[in-house]
Amino acid sequence: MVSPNTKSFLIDVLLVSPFLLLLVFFIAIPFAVSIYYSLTSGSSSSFTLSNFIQIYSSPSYLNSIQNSVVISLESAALSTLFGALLAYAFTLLSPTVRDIIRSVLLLPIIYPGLVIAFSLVILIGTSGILTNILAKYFGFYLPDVFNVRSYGGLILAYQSFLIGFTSITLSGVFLSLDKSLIEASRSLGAGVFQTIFRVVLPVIAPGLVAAFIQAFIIAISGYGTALALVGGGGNLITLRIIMLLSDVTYEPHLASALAMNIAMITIPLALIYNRLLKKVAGGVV
Amino acid sequence: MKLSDALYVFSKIVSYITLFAIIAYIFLVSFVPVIGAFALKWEFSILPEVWTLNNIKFLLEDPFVLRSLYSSLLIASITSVVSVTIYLLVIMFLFLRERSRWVHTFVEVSVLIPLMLPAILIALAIYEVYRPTMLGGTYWILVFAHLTIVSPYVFRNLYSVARMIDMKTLIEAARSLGAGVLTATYRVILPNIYHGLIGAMLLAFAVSFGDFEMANLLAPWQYRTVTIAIFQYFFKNAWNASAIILLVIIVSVLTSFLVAYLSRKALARYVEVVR
Repeated sequence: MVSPNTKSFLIDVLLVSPFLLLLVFFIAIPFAVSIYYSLTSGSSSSFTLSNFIQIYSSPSYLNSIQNSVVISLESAALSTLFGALLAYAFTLLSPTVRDIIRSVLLLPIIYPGLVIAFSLVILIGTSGILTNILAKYFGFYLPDVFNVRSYGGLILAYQSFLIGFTSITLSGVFLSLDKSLIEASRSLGAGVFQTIFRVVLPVIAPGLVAAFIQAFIIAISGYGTALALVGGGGNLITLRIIMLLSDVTYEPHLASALAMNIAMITIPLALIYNRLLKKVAGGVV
Repeated sequence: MKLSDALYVFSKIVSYITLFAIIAYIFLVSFVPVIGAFALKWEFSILPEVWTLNNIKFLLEDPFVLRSLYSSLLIASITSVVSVTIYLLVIMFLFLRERSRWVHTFVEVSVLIPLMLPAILIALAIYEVYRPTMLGGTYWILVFAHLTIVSPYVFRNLYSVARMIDMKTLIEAARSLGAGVLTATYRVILPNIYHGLIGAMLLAFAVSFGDFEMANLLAPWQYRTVTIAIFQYFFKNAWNASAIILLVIIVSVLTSFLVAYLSRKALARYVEVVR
């Protein structure tokens, strides 16, 4: 006869073990291995910092880190701004319209980033449809001003799905913003700007930071959109990692060290994000 | 007119214009491939100059594309079912009895790890660790990789539903009335979280189906996915590739349609039971 205690313990183990196995075998062990890889070189198994030294002494790798960070910061700033404007617009709309618009905003999140990149090339690439129409009827050749297969184009492509994330995260914040707070502040004699900076901003600030971090992490760690849009012509960390993993040059150690540079930025940010998320209702993830 | 009123009207106008512009942009980038899938020549006008069904014919006849569709459907289905099962079990564990705050925090944080690490880092490490093992040349290596990236979506969905229906009290009630854990799950928990379950499954399916970044590195050559097919065909023939993109769009829309239908049915049943 199995005692009730043993039985409930067995049930616990059964319930939790698939998750723990997944966690250990496909997250913990791979992460440990990539740390190990980044600290060793292919030739010997002793620990070395040579991969990191190679990265930090190469202007081209440093440039790729700088490019990735700058592009992600710009993408995150833009998408947080647009997401906030959208979230504000949501508060003015009826719930039905709001739900329809939200599901439209979710579409590019589900689509692969690849699709967005290709659509942009079809639309405003060097021989894109809109480019051709503008050139034919208005005598204006768009690629002279804006080349879509560039970092600028990448930021534009990122907006299509980052705005979905930021606006949905922020709409929870904006909708829960108590209107009576604003009215109280106004009736007590505060000006518009005073109300915005003293009353509204402190309430929505955690949401804004959370949305910004979320967008930044997504922008810096993805590579599908960048590969389709800028391809080998771009110098971004993720693209350099992909190049190190091609059949010609397969260097998992250097690639892991490069990937660690992203992780060192994203892990602390994600921890802050997780803290902030507790204060913010809603969000896609 | 006072300054504050003017500012209010101005902010309203700005936010409406932004809303309109962003929706237009999203529609444009989402539906250009849908029209392109039926284009033979499309260069200088709003709609294609010459329409054709050849791209669809290509889609249905090209063995590589068909094979990739099969792989994607297979991998996404397995990923969605397995991930929902795993996280349903964990959530049952969390709510079966009083658990300390640390257990909840541990699960919450570890589920978020895949968001903190770039997909390429996890993919590279999984590739290095499991290529020499028996997982190596099979599609299971990609299934396990996808299980990691879908976990935040699946867990957060199920967890919020479990809290909403007060799963802990439900389980306690069922068990104090004499139901075993299995009976309680089957008769009480499952019917109550049906919506959340299907919603999480859909998200997992969509994330796995749309993934390119892990598949690009991990998919064995006979299991290359739809997104890889799109990538390979785009620079050869954009309209052929658009046909494959159309397929991805149809599958996502169909899935969400099916799910909406199922959850409506489940809701109707729930209302009946309550009556």
